[in-house]
Amino acid sequence: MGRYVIKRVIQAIPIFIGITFIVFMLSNMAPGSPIDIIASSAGLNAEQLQALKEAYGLDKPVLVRYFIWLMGIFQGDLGVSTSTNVPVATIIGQRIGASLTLSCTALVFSIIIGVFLGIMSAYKPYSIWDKVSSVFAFIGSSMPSFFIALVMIYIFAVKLKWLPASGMYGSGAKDLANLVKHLILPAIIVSMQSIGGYIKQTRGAMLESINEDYIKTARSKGISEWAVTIKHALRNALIPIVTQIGLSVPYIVGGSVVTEQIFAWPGIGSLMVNAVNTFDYNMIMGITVLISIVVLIVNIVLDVVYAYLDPRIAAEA
Amino acid sequence: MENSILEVKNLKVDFIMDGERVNAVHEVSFKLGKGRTLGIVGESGCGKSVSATSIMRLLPKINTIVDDCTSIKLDDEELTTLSDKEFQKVRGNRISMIFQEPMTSLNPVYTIGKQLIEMVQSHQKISKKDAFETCVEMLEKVGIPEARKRMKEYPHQLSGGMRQRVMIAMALVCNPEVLIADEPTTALDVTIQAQILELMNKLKEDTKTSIILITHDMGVVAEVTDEVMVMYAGEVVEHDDVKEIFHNPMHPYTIGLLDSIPKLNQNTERLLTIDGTVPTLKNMPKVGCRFADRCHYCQDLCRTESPALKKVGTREVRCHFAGNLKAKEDK
Repeated sequence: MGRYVIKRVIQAIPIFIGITFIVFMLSNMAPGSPIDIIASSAGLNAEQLQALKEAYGLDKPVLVRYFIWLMGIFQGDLGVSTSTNVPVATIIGQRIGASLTLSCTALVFSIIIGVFLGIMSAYKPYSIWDKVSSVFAFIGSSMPSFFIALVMIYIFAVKLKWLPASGMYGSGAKDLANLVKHLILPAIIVSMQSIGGYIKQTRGAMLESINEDYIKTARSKGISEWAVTIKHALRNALIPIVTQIGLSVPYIVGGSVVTEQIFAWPGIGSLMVNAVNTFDYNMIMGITVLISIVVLIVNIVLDVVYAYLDPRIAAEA
Repeated sequence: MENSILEVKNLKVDFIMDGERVNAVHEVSFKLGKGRTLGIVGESGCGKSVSATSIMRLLPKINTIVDDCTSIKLDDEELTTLSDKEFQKVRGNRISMIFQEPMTSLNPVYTIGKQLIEMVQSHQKISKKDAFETCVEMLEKVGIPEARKRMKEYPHQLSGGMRQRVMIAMALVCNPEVLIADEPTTALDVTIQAQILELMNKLKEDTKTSIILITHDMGVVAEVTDEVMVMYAGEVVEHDDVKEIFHNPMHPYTIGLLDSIPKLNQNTERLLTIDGTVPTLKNMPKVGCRFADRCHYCQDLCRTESPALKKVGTREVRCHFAGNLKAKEDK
């Protein structure tokens, strides 16, 4: 198993470098740069412009700049944010805690609810459980999150005044209770998007494995139907479920852009939106690289989990 | 046959298909003697597997109706009135079952040992260590070499024959009174088939377990069973000791089955077959003999009146003209 993990990590390195190359080249090709903004607002002449370019290292050829940037990444240096003149890594460091708090809460919440409802609807197909979770999945995956967010804010923040509508702590104390209060609404919104997928994926995978021969064997042993469902059917259905969860992790880390924006959550998502608005390429590239690292790590973790879940995969590896 | 361990009376199973209630098994009754092997024979779709799986209560509840008049007695204890929870104590423990597909019948994600131990621990209060030893012993009994090592292996590391041995070990590890084997050798190649049959014969002598063997292979029947029950279209058509049936088949269907076994000493160009196929559940004849359409001896009476199961000596046979068959002239 140890060798398998090392093999997967080594395989991930060229993929990571490839991603950084594409990210850098695409950012470089995009029209508009922070220099242009400064130049047009300050009315610089050609000499001053040249000096500015040298200061930012923009006079060098693209490939050279790429390698300088790449070497920086390996040392934890993602460049300086052109809109704030603060190192990108520092800003991301300040923001990532908030994003992880939101996304991890949402992830755990959606796994618990989604997988549980999926199991229940497979345990008793076409029952009331099945129908309720089907409607739930339908709403969750078909309604845009900003709409659900606005409806929830209207109900719980404006009308009922139970929960705050924005910020991480607001003006209140920086304690856990206050955080939880601020966290509930955005976490529900973020998890709503993936719960539907989890329900459907779990139900489908469960119903498939329930029809397998070994389930008949398990039943013939005289163990309870619930034990058959959980120990035998769910255990075999876990691979597609874990895949679904793995696929939505990077989405949750980088993708709560809209939700963070609506709830003024001080995370990576709103940082990304600001960076795009201000042509802050170092910031955009930094965040993109961060997300791609998360994707790569999640993929390695998934492969290891697969091997653990299915001994046949471990045997091939 | 005073000492019967399993007594099935009037087993009647209906399925709901597309909102329509169709009959799959009709008035199947038999007694299984202690330590005996009963072969249930018939072609695909004759209801032999359905009968056995309904005894185990393994049919999907959602579209199956087992009629109220059905009585299944295990050692004089009525099973049909037990709740599902009570029946769990019977299933696997007192009646166990092995299936046709050894390749897919074991759970691929658990070790052999874990699956065997689960069986033991769900019926006996026994420590994991003792259960492990019991299982190793059982694996050795079914002829698995290096049983202790195999306990830690996964099903994909074993061959089909080995997996079927594991299934047999699992079915017998709780010392059941009855073992139902649903085509246990169909998916195996012929040499392995012979080994498995020999193993079952040997184990039956050791453990005194009674066996219901479901098969469509008359050769298998001749080799291991004491008595045979021939089923056709959900009904028992003939039932007697295996030797009696092979020497003197009385029902036209049994005659056809026996004739269609290829014989080396006959120089026939084509194998003999029974014309036609089993009527589907939805096209089952409502009146008359269910075999009439395929029968060489069919008379007018066969079309208008359903034959009852007649007793002729030890023989039970469902034919109006049993012992008095006359071939139709036009055939």
